[in-house]
Amino acid sequence: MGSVFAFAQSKVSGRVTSADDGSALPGVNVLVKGTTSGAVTDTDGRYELQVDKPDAVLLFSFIGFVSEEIAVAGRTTLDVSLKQDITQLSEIVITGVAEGTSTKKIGFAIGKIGEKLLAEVPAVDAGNALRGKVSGVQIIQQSGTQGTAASIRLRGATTISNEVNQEPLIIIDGIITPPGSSSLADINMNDVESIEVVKGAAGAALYGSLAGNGVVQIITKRGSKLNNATTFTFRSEAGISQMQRFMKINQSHNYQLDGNGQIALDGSGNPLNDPNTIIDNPWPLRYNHQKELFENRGFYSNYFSMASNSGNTSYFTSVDQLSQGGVIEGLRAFERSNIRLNVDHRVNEKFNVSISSLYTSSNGPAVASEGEQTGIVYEVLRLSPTANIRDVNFDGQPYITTNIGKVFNIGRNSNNPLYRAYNDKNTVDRDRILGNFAARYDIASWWKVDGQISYDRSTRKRNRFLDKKYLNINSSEATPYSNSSIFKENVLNTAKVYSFTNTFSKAFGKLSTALSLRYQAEDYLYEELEVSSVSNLVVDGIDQTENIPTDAIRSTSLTEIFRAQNYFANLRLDYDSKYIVEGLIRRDESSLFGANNRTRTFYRVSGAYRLSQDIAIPGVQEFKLRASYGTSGQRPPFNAQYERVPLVNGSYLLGTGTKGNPDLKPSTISEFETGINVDFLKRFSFEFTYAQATADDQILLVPLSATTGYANQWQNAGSVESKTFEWSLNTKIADKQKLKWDVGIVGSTTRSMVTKLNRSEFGYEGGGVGSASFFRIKEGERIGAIYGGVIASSLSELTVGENGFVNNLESVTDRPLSDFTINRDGFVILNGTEFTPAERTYNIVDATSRARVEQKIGDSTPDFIFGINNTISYNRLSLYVLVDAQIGGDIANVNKQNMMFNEIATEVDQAGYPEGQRKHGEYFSILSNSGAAPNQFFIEDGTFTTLREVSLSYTFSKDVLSKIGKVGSAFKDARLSLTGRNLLTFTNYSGWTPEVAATGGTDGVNFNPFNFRADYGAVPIFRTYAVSLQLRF
Amino acid sequence: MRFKSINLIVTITLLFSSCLDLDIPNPNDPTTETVLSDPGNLTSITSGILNGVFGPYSPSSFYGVNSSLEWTADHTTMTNNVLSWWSIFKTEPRQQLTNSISWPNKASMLEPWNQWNGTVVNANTVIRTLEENEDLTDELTGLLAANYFARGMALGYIGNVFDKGYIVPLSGDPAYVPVLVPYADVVEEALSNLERAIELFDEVPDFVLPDELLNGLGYTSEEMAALCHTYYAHILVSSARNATQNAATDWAKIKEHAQAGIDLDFIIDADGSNITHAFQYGSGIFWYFRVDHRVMRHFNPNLPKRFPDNATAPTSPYTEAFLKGAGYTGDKRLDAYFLFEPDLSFYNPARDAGRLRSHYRIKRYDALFEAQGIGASVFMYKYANQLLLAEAEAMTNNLTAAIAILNDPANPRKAVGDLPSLATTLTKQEVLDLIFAERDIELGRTDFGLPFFDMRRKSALQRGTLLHLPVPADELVTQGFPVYTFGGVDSADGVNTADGSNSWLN
Repeated sequence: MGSVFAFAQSKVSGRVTSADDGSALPGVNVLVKGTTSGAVTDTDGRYELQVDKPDAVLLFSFIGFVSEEIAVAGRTTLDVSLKQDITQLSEIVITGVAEGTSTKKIGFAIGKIGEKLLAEVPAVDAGNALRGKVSGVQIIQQSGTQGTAASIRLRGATTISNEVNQEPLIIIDGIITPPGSSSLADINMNDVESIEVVKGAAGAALYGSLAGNGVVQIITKRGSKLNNATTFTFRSEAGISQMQRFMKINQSHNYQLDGNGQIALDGSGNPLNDPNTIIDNPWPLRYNHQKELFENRGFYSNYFSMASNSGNTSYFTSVDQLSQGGVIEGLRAFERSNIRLNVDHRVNEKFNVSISSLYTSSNGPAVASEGEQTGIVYEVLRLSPTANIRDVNFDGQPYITTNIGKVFNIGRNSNNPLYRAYNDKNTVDRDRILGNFAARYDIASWWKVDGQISYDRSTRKRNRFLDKKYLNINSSEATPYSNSSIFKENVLNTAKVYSFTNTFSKAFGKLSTALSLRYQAEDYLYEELEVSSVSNLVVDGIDQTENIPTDAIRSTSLTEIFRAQNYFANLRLDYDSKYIVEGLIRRDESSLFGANNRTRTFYRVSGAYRLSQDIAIPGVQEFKLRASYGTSGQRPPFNAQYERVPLVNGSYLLGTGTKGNPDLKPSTISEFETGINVDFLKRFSFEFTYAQATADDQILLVPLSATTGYANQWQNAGSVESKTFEWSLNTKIADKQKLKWDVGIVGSTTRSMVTKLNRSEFGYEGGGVGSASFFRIKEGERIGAIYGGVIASSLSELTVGENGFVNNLESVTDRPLSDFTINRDGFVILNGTEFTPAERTYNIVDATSRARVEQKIGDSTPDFIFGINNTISYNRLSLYVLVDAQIGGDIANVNKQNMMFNEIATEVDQAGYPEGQRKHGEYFSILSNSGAAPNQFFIEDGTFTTLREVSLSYTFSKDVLSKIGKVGSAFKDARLSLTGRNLLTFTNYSGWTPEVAATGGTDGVNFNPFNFRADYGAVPIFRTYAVSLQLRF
Repeated sequence: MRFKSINLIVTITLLFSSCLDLDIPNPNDPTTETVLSDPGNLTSITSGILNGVFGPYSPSSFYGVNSSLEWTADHTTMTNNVLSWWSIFKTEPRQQLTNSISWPNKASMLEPWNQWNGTVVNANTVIRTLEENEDLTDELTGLLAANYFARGMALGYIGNVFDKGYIVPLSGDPAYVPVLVPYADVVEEALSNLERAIELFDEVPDFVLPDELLNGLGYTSEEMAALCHTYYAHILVSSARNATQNAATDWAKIKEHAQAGIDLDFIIDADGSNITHAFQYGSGIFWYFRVDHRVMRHFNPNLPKRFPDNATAPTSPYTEAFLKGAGYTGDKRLDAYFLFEPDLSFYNPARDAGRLRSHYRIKRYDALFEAQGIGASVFMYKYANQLLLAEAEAMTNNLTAAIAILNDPANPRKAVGDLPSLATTLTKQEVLDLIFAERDIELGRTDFGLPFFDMRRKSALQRGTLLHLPVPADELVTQGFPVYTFGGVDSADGVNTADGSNSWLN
């Protein structure tokens, strides 16, 4: 008996790891066989339990791994290595859940991209890495400006306002980053081990008011996976970037030609117009300005990492340097340098600490290279085709810009984009430190305490310098230099987040339980200081504010401090790995909420039933039903709650400010999500999810009548409802020893509608001078609806008044219906006017008020998005292909409307038509203008399919390498890859690329490239070809 | 050990819980209450209010409706279509204005609407605050007068540019329900405010406008009162929508106020941020705003109203020599104020270029252009006041007095134009025509919409030209009022849209 009692007190502990890569396995059930006592491993894979017999047998089971039974045999430490069950692949995720959990046991959809898939083609940024790999995730690279990260949208729109963050919460190794802090462009994808995506509000409930748009967590590599080893990786990639395609433009003009085929000029050197206004004469000399401006430019990246594990201490460190030249000649390259250090240390059996840190420094061009006149890209289309943009200016400066538009009326007020690219020194320099310190202490086998402190500090310096001798189109020899200016902006952004978690977990027979309690505090600071000049500088070449005359210096500054503290409790019940129920409640307190509403509660209830564990279904290895309902939210912008009287240059602008709102609440996104996960035929894995979300208490800036003494007020003034269907299918088409072929297909469709709007309907601008607020926000309308004028295109659209005359066409009141016909382009015109200067199109107007009719003419939201990724390997040769597509969704082609008005669009080119069937310039002028208002002629289908990534790799084994001598034998392996990105886009869209979002404009529609697709002078995305070599040793 | 750990955890949790202060004041902007609580702020507040009066002249509103109105009055021409200059304000026949929340150029209407209405509400607040004090110092009385001036000016602009407006009561009654009233009521309120400003300025003769106001304008009370008189006359004159209304204007009142009006040009030192006269300094762009033939014909009536309606003219026949040839009045202001630009190549033939060409631009403000709009900007010439007086004299049948003003050697007609004295035998209409010619030559691109108001009150605008702007659609939609608009030959009623009865093109 004595010995039995002695054993009754015996404790067994150990660590469970994956046999594949040595990584810790959290959540493993450890059961004393034949009893109901057991334990669950923690996030470090550790467990501890009591056994009462010396011959006790421990049963280790974990989804996706082959279960093991191991006798204790008197040992007190028992480390176990579990092998993966290839028929039940499962992954552990840490995002959206209180602690590391198998995806098999989660009641909501969560996407994860593992290291293997990420390593096939290291993406340029984390956003692009998600393309075509996780359903319900939409990625838009809305600008090809080097250094610009892709935008991410998870499921539908949750926010109407352009001033409330639209992007998901970005977490990097547990570090919560401030909204809009350009997190993704800072991360080197070679460092990334996995990316986890929580798409919906229910899944993101854990993050409360931070995560109404979902969560993306980037998890970087660590040394802890290694077993007493040190590894080194060197990777170098170099290549070129080039335009995917050039835009077709008009090849003709309407000037007279002399006998030599040259443009006929008057005595002053000005061109003579053709006796007609038909644009059908060939240019005697024609430069292709697109090919001149967009050049093939180089890029490279060099990366080195070292990882080591020497028992209790492991680390991963890396350095990299990236240079991306983009495709525009003269623009500064984007350059980034990163240093990373991740350290894990096991102080003792109970106490572990880990540190994650990143320093990144980058510089590159500011995105102000977009838009009309002030930009580069649209300007290249507007230049006179005869203008040699490499000519010199009157003062000898290269790249003629002064008066470049003088050569014929086309592009009269264009700048030379090359001159601007070289001389408009507009740059952004960023530095960022990300740090996270985490510690875990095991108070008992069932009670663990975690503490975490993270710090994110970034600075951004924007500098724009137009030197004293900066020229523009209006410069002349008489007044050569009157355009100089300096603009300097310094921004500091810091985020400090502290969290403290207690986790209680215990197994009661087949019932595993886990209770987590967390307190989290957030402290943010944003500071901005701008100094600029409002008139010319004093001397040439000095980019300092001392160069600004005293009375021409302007300065503004801004400080934003905001804090939050949050509490949550999460209870998880898992019965026999079949029935999983989870409940979460979180209370947020934030200084961003109005003073009368400082607290908000969010919650989630989710459940999963692994049907296949109860019922054997032939050919089905896993069948899980899941459902969840939960809430998360969006915080108001800093200034939203305050009454603000603008203080400008020392004057109070009383009555023009924002009325305070102490009752302002965060928006609340409530989501119901349900779906299934099925693994079948041992090679297929299918997931389907339906999600319905309602985003209430929309935070909107509501205009107030000028009579109130305030311009506007932030209010909770609307609701948006979204419905999403998403699915994915992963399969191993081949899994032989030599031939392996993995295919992943993802697809989704989402619709978002404004169901309530407690303010007047309004429009968001498409961007730029002359564009319109055609994205209409109104109750009962989809987000993305485009409103505009309608050009009469059928005689049946015409109405006739009592006087017998057509009464609903603009500018016509005295014509019977019989006077109208349909022209070649399908528009209503007056009989007999086709191919004459009098030919014109007509907008439909209201028959009574004669005001132009406005109606819905398009919808930007795609009907369906999907992606297919393929990885085929044969022996050591591997081919990776990624295709992604958007089906449906309209684009407001503002570029095209402006181009037609400026006689650049291909439609105005009449040279290809027979004599007598050519249209006059007046026709296109009216068609494209329509009061400069949007009309349906310029709404195009934005469907596209892109061959996004192709990579062909060969891995040289150690055996092969050793044949090239001592140097070769030092390497474990070497991987040589040829990679192409953004290779081809298949689309009927007429612009450079259908991946667009308008930039500029007072409404700044570029906040939402998913619902508001307008093409206006954005730098197009480019393709790259690269060769890379990776050495591991 | 376990309990120690628990204590530690609880302690740390409570420490974190209690250390966060979530009541963070806004460090960037004051509130109305804090601003008004310090009387020392009133000067700064008034500075913002006065800047609001002139805010719609700034480039932030893309030159504003100001330039659009001069285009549609055929004072300015070009085929550029920024802000629908060409398509709505210049094409012939005239188009209906698109008053819609989608209209690309809605900001050009919305900004002046908001700024002027904001000015009224702001001035109300300051006036209320000051009038609650029965013992105002001279300085505060001067500030009170300045706020009445600002309120009057803002209401005057609203009444003359838009067909309706709000008159937000001075009382600041929170129960006030915004109601749009006809422009005539708005103008009447504006004039009464200017009268009140004059009274107050007269009460404090030693008052000098503080440096913070209007960029150091430094006007004395007397000069400010004179400015109020001039604007009184100008706003009242400009409010007439057609010739009939113009004839019915109280010209005796105009004469009274013009006689007490400014004796110096009203020039503000534009700073590029608080106050900028964008349309004025934009005159310096050599290929941009050209002066319409309607104006250039004052120098030589042989110049056709339009170029031949033929976009194919091989070269312009209307060179500098043409204008100075047969028919030239000899007015030397042609060279003093205007510059011949030979280049017409930026005119798009497909956009009525045949009719819309002009070789001439205004060069009076080139220095301002070269300084990027920083510097002395004229908002009202003293000659404008003289011309108001002359017109009032003519309209009250005192032609001799009117002609005497035109013949005054100190006035630009003779001082710069070097034109001979006019005969005293001229008819009333001839005198009025000469006055309007002087206004066309001298006053363009100074006060907001001035050439438009002149053409409107002569019924000389082309048929279909709007006679005033509708209230912006955004405001109407916000208030739940029906959206409406003006302009277009289909709507030419002579009340809201010009009927062309006396169109200069007839």
